[in-house]
Amino acid sequence: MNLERYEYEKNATRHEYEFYSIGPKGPILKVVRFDLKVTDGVPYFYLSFGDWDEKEKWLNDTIVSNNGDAEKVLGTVANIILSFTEQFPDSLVYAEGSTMARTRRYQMGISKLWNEIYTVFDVYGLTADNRWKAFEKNVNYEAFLIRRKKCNFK
Amino acid sequence: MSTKQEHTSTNELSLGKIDTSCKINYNMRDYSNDPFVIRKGEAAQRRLEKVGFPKEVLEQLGLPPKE
Repeated sequence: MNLERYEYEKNATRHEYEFYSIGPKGPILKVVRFDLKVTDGVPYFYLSFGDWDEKEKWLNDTIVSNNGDAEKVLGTVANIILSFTEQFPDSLVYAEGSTMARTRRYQMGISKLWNEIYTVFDVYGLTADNRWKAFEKNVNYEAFLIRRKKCNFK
Repeated sequence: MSTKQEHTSTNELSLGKIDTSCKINYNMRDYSNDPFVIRKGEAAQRRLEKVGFPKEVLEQLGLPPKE
């Protein structure tokens, strides 16, 4: 997973990450956040990934940045997930887009990096009939659960 | 902005070394109460209450599968 990525920073709790997308639209602050929740006795971190909207003063993941660096942004988010799960190796990470289109972008991103991702993570996709399946390329999913493979720990 | 360079961290995996080093920013904005983050959490909770978790995950945690 030696992808091109942006430099990023994390906060002291290591649950929040920031980086700037740099492109024709100027610098855009991107935020990745992991929050712990427990459902049915299972602890997991849900992932929030969005752009900081300076005008509205909140995060937004419905903006299409078109900053010409989608692959580098994706590589940065993948690297952040790696960083986070390095510090919290048993964590289960849940991700879904705010819209179907956004979830498809996540799916395409995972597919694109699949040869690298599968060596590091177990990835489950939620199918339209509400079943979790091991991720496969060219299958549409509505959400994802990601867990670091035990055998790859340092 | 107060930042500190964290020790260099690399993940040695089958595809080589992956550098995950970054700075810690002690003055980062707190997004925990951002409406977007709260909505994401509510959506995750609703979805997972409905569909449960993969059986492999539940097995590892020693939990029974969702009915």
